[in-house]
Amino acid sequence: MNSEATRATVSSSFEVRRHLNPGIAALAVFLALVCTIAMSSGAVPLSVFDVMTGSATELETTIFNEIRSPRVLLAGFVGAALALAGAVLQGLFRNPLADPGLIGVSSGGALGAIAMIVLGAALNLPDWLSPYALPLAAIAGALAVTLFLYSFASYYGQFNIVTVLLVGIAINALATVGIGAFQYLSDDAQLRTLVFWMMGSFGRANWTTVLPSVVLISTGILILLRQAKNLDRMQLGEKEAFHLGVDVRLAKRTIILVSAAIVGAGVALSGIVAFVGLVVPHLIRLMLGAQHTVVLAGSALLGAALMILADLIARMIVAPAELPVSLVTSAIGAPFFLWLITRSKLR
Amino acid sequence: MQTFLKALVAAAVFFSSTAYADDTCFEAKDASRIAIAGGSITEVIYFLGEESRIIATDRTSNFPEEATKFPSVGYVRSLSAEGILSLKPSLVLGEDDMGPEEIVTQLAATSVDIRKLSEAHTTQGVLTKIRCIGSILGVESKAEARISEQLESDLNELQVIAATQRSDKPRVALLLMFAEGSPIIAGHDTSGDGVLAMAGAANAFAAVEGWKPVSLEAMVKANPDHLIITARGFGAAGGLDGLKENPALRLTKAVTENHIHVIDGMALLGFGPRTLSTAVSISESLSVPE
Amino acid sequence: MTLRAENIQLIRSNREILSGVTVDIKPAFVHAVIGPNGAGKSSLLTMLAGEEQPSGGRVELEGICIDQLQPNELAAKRAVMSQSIDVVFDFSVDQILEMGWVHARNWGHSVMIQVIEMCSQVCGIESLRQRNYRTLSGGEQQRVQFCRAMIQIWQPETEAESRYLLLDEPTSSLDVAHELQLLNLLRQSRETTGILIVLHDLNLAAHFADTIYLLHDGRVVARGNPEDVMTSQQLSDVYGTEIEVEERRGRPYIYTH
Repeated sequence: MNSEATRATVSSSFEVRRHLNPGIAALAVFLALVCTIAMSSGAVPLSVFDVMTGSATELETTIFNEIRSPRVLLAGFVGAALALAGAVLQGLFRNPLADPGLIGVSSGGALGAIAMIVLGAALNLPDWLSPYALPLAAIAGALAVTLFLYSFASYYGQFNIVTVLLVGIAINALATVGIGAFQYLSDDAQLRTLVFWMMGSFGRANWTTVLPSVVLISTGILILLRQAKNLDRMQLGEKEAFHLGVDVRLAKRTIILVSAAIVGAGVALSGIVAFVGLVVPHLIRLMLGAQHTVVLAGSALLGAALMILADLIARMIVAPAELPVSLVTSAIGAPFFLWLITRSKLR
Repeated sequence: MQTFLKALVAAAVFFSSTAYADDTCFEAKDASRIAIAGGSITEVIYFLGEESRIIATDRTSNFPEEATKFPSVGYVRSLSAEGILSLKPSLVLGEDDMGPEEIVTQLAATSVDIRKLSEAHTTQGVLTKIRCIGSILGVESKAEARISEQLESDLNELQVIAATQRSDKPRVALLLMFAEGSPIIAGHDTSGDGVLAMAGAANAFAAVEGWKPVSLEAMVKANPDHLIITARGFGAAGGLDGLKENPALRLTKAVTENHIHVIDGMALLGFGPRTLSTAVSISESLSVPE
Repeated sequence: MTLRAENIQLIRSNREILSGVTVDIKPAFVHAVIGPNGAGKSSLLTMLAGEEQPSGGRVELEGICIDQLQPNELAAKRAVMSQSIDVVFDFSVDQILEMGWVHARNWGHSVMIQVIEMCSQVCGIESLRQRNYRTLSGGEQQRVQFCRAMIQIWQPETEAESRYLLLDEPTSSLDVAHELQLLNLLRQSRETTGILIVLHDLNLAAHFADTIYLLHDGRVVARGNPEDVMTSQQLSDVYGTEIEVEERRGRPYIYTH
C-alpha cells in the first residue's frame, strides 16, 4: 500500500470515534434528566442532595439506597433491554412488528419463571442459589425457545425468517398452554404471585438480584450494538448481506441468543411489560432515521428513559398504593401503536 | 350441658393462648400508627375498638364501611414499599398472604415494625388472630373481654356444631367467582373449606385441592345440595337468573331446589370475627327443613 | 487471476440444476450468461457469489477455494447485484449506498463521503441521494443498487487489484436510455474488474459482452465471443424457436419472427 493510502488509514480511526450523533446525545441527556427526576420523586418526598450530603434521615437514606435506587436502575436496564431486543429483532426479521413477544421469547421466559414459582419449592435449592433461581429459569426458558427456533429452522434447510415467525406463533400457543397448566397446579398464594408477576412491576427490585442482571444486560447491550452495521446490510436481504461481507449465520445466532438472554433477564425480575419493545424502536426511526447505529443506541437510551418514567407514573399515580407497570406502558403504548399503523397505512 | 361447653371453650381459650407465643405476637414498641394489609385485621382492630390507631388500610378492608375512608395501600398481595413508608406508620400489620415477599423484605430493612400474622382456617384460628393483635397492641385483657362479651354465643354454637356427629351432613359447594364461565370452587386447604367445616357441612369438592375452576360435568357429578356463593360471584353470574341459566350449575340440586346462599366475601372467607357468625348462620340455613 | 467455476454440479431436491459447468471470469472482460428460462443462469451466479456450495466441482477466487474465504474477504473482492431489492424501513438512498462501503477497515469516513459522491455522480443518481429508497421507482432502485455495487468494488486509482462484479439482470426495470448508460458504465469500468452479467436481451449481450456463455438445461452448450456463440442454429436449438442472426457493426444482431 502506498503512502497516501496509509495516511488515509491513520486518519480514519480518529474520524469514526469523533462522530457522535446529536440525536443520541440528546437522548442521553434526556435519560440523565429522567433518572434524576425518578430518583428524587416518589411516595416519600426526599431530596437527592440531602441524601448525598448525609443530611437526610435514616429512613430517607434507606428508602433512597435500598428501595428507590435498585428500582430505578432495574427499570432503566429492563427498558433498555426490551427496546433494544425489539429493535434488533425487527431488523433481523425485517418486520416492523417483530418483538420479543412475537417470536415466543417472552412467553418462553414467562413459562420458565412460572415453572420456578410453582415447582421451585419442591427443588430444595441451596440458599445461595435461590435468589437467582427465578431469573435463571426465565433466561433458560427464553433461551430454550430461541435454541429450539434456531435448530428447528436450521434443520429445515434455510434459516428462513417466515419459518421463525410461524414457529414463534406455535411456541406462543404452547407456552400459553404451559402457563395455564402451571396456573392450575399452583396453590392460592402462588396463583396470586403469578397474576401479579404477569402484570409487571419493578417494586421487588433489590441489589442481590438487580446487580447480576445489570451486568448481564449491559454485556448484552454492548454485544448487540456491535451488530448495527450487519443489521443495516441485512435490510437488503440475507443473501445481499452476505455479498456485502456479513457472516449472516454468526450475526443471526448472536442477535437471537443475546436478545433472548437480556429479555429473559428482564422478564424474570420485572414480569411481563408490554409494548416497549415494539414502540420505542419505531419512535427512534421516526426521529433519527433507520440506520441501526442510531436505532440501536437510541432504542436502548429511550427504552430506559421511558421505562423509568412509566414506573414513576405507576408508583406515583395511586400512591400510597401502586399500579402494575405494564398497565401504564400498555395504556400509553397501545394507542400510540395503533396511531403508527394508521399512519403507515395512509402513506 | 351449658357449663360443660363453657368449660370446653375456656379450655380451648387457655390452650390457644399458651400455644401461641411465637415471635409475631409480642407487644409493639409503638403501635400508635398502624398500616394494615388484610381486611380481617381491620375487622379485628375495630372489634377491639382500637381503630383510632389506623392510618391506612388495603383494598380488602371493606368492613366496617368507615374503614374504607383511610388512604389505601393497594391490594394485600401487591403492596408498595415506598407507598407504605410515605404514610410514616410505626407498625405494619399484614395477613399471611401479604406481599410480594420482596416488598416485605424491603420494609423489614427499615426501622418500621412489620408483622405478618399466620392464619388457620378454624374457629381457633380466628381467636388466635384476635389475641395476637391484642398482644401486639398491648390490649390483651380488652381482647379477652371482647371475645367473651361479643363472641361467646357464636363460639358456643360452633362448639355444638362441632360436637354434633351427623352422618348426613349437607353437601355444599362454595363458589368464589367465575373464570371464563367456569365456576371457581373451594377445594380442601382453602379458607372456604375451613368455613364449611366450621358450619358442619361437607365440602362437595373436598377431593379438589385449592381454588379450582370446575367443569360442567364435574359440577353435575358432585351435585351439591347447597350452593354458597360470594356476593361478587353472584353479581358476576348475573344474579339468581344467571345462576339458573349457568350450564354448569342449573342441573345441580342446589340450584333446582333454590338452596343458594349469597354471602359477602370478606365476612365468609376473611377469618375475622365476622366469619364465626357467618359460619353459625350458614349452619342454621343448611339445617332448615325442606 | 480469475473467479473460476470448475466443472461444477448443483443438485437441489434430487434435480440436477447445473452439470459440468466451467466458467472463467477474467478481469477486464465482460462475460454474459444467456439461455432460456430455467437454464440455471441465476443458480450459476449464486455459486460464483459463494452463497451456496456446489454439489460437485469447485469455485475458486484467484486460486483459493471460495469456501475457505470469510464473507468479508469475499466482499472485498467481489460485488453482487441482485434482480430487485425491497427494503422494509425508511432508509435514504445515501444510507443504502453507505452499506456498499466495505472498506471501513482501511479507509476513513471522509474517503467514504468522497467515494459515494463520485460514484453517485458517475451513475447519475445524485438527485436521488436524499430520497427515501422505498419511494423510488423500480428502475431508480436498480440504479441505486448498481451504484452500491460500484462503491463496493471501488479502489483508489493508485491500486490496480482485480475485482469481480456479478449482475443478475441488472437492467430488467430500466428504460432504454438508462439501460445503455448502465451497460456503457460497466464496459468503461472493467479495467481491473471481471464482470459476469446474466441477460435476457440477446442483442444487449451481443453488443456489450466480450465472452458469451450459452446455458441450456444446466450445461454450457457454447462459450466464446459473440459471433461464435450466437449463431442462428445454436440459438434456435437452445430456445426452441426460430431465431435469425445477422451481422451489424461487427456484432451479431438477433431477431425473431
